Amino acid sequence: MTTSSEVEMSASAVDAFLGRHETGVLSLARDDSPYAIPVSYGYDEASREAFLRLVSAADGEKRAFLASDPEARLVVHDEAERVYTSAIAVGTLERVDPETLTAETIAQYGETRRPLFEMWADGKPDLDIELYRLAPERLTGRKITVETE
Amino acid sequence: MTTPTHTVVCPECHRSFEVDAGMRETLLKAGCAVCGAPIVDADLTVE
Repeated sequence: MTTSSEVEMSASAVDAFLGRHETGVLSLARDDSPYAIPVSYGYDEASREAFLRLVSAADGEKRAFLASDPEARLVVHDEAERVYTSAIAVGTLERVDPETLTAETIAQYGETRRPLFEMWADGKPDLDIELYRLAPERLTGRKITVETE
Repeated sequence: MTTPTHTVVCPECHRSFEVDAGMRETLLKAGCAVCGAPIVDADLTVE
């Protein structure tokens, strides 16, 4: 017989979980069109914000979905020994203008895992690399433990 | 940002922006905010 227990994670548990991971899936939408991509991110537990570098090729579709501070959802999940854990951050994805960087945000991006630039044929100077911040309006996490007797 | 003291040009992504003394110190430790490449003193020019 299989039983499972599901627990809503505390805020500190969600923070710790997001702080331990560096990759997730970012979901955006425009009209009726969805768009979801794997991303790397950095998480600041003090401000509960996620920091991302998003890379676009000149002819890519990502730019259209990133226009005008879109609503976004970042999902991070893992599985370990029958424990399934996930966290979801929902909020506005704001572009960070490099002209507005501070020592604190530079340090934060220093802690943020870099994108896999190698997957693009173009070198970094020819890529559109933009900085984003997701300050979640909702930040939740769930842990499900499955036990087989 | 307080009065900018340097301009940094990343050797890998070629983005440039102005930084103050505090930001300069952080850049040298953290790397380019845009692409993550290491930044050294030679990448910074005094304003």
